[in-house]
Amino acid sequence: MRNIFTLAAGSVFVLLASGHAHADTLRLSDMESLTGVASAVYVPQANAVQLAGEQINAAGGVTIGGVNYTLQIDQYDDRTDTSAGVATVQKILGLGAPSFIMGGGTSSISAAYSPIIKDRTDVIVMVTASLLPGLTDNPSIYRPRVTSKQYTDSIVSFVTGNPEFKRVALGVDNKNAGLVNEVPALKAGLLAAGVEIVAEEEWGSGNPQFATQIAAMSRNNPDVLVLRGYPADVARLVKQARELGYSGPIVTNSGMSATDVENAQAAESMDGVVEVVAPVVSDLIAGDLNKEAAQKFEDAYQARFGTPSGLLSVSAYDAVFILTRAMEHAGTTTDVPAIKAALDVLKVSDVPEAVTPIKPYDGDLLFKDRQAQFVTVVRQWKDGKFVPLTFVK
Amino acid sequence: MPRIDWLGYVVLVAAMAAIYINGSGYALTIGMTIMIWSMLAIGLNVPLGLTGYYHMGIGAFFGLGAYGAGFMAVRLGQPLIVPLLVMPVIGAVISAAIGPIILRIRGLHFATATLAIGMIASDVMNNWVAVTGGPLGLAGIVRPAPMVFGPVTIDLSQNSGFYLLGCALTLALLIWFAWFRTTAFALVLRGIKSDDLQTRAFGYSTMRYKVGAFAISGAIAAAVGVYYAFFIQYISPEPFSFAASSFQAFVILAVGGIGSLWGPVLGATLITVLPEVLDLQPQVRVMTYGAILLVVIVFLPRGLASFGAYLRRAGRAPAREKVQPAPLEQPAK
Repeated sequence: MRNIFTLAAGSVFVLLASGHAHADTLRLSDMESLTGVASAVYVPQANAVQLAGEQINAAGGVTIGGVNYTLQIDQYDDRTDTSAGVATVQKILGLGAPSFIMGGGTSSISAAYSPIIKDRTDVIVMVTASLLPGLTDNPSIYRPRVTSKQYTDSIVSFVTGNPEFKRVALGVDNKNAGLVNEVPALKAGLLAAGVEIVAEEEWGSGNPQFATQIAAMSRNNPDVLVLRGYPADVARLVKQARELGYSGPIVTNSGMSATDVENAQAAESMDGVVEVVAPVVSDLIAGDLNKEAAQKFEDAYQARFGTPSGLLSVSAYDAVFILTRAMEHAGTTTDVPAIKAALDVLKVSDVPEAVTPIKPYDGDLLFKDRQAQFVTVVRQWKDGKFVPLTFVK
Repeated sequence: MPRIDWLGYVVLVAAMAAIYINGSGYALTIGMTIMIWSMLAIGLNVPLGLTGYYHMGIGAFFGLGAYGAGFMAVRLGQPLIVPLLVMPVIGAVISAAIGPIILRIRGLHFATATLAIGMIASDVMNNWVAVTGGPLGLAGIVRPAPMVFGPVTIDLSQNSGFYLLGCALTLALLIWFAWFRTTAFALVLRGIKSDDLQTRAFGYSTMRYKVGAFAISGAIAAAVGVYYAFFIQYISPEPFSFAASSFQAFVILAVGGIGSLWGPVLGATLITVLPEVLDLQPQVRVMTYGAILLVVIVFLPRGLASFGAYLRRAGRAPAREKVQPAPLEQPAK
């Protein structure tokens, strides 16, 4: 019996002690698609959030309103499932106010939980993946991440700037809501510049075979194929296009990495392929843009996780610094309206740790209507890797 | 007079009440998710559990209800009650129209045909942009305003109120299914499941019964879709794909108990709650989840609903051993 009392007393002591240890802990909830169809993209994003938290803690934490806080990053898996995503957000909200959610899930998931948080004044979501238009109309959502519209503008600028591209064949992932929404704008931009659209094809994410789409696009003798979708799909598509005899120029918008190309065994088919995308770390290093910060990030990421960073890693990494810096400026971790106000006036120069090339708005502001804007990169596959041609600033 | 399983209903209502009293958004969301899957699995239980037809396209009717609700709410400004009444009728009519064509085949051929219905529906959801919003889906589905019943006000715009609506629908559907299983109609469906030819030999037009079962299933799935659309307030094609809905409903039924009354509820509870309570690394969790389902299927091939019978059998086993004659004495070595 005495042992039971000892055990109980010990448990109570441990509980109390652990409670005390967390008194100056700032909890950030990181909601990611750690399993399910989108996990390949989201796991590197979750890793980057974790890395940012660890680096901030290693540097002594973050001081807000005179109190030093240690970051605690709690990971949640939305399983790439809309209902599970909504349940995850409810679970996080149920932990008690205020709630700070990083990552924010896929386009479908972010659209599904958006109504739940719209009228709440105790939550901030830092969306670093979903390209869904209109998402930042929600006053609780900030997006330090490129939008599909910025991609569209960059592609239109690149294609219309090339006098050889007069006949374009378009291919789009029809399950990528952010990209599908941009099809009318992309077409309008090309048509306005006198470019003819000779074919329009689509596919679903994860599709292993693209012969039908490639045949339909190439039989119209386009000057260029413009392909927009997830990296793995686009890499497979390029490979199959070359195998099926299409030898013309290809412009993609996918965020492909060398690993994606390698996994699709598409390296031999990729020579000359031009990609227009938000720069990933390797682009920044090769193109000498934020090179030092990018290299530092990549070294730390690879040392911690043993793999190269992913498409969304740096956006997610930066988001942690952006949010904590806004809290520092606001001097509070609990007054969410004050933190939002600080985010609204946060300047790009306030976040020197940011790796992504953020394009400031007037007055060096980082956000306008809760949306950030970014430099994009035009890069070309040469000798087994992407080489930046130019940055669209 | 059919025997009523009061204990089951008491436990279910108590569980529903406990979630309501807990009141957290998370608990209510999990509760509503369980109820959605329970109702969808009950819908699948009619053609699969009672009739023996592997309906792999129920997600199409689930999506039909959801998109119908979304379209009526967002584009036509109709309140919840309109799609809740209209979409089941549309689901039943479409099922009754398709049924006579595809119910001529059965087994894997029927499963493949219904799979094709799901694929067609998925294509329509993705491509009929004017109505479905395409891959972007339909946002802005607004839940109804508070309803006043004398001194009681149910605010359906809040999770707690909408949860109560789900409880009412689930209980009503469960009670209906308990009654339906005892009807002469269901008896004929069981006859079809056992031997279609023999049932016809008894003078029953089995096609009518099969089409009826298919239409009931379509109506239930569409109604569940309406509830889902107003629950999640945003719809896009993914949740209605084969893997996300039809297959999931099938797994729930297989785990819970095909043809049983409580199987859909037990299966939906396990499938929904298990990933939430397994506090493991995501990849380990997925494997653990799969392993648990495997164990359930292997040791309870008739589903969780047969667990009571399994325990009773296990309890009787020692008793049988006791009455067995004692072994003959071994001769001394």
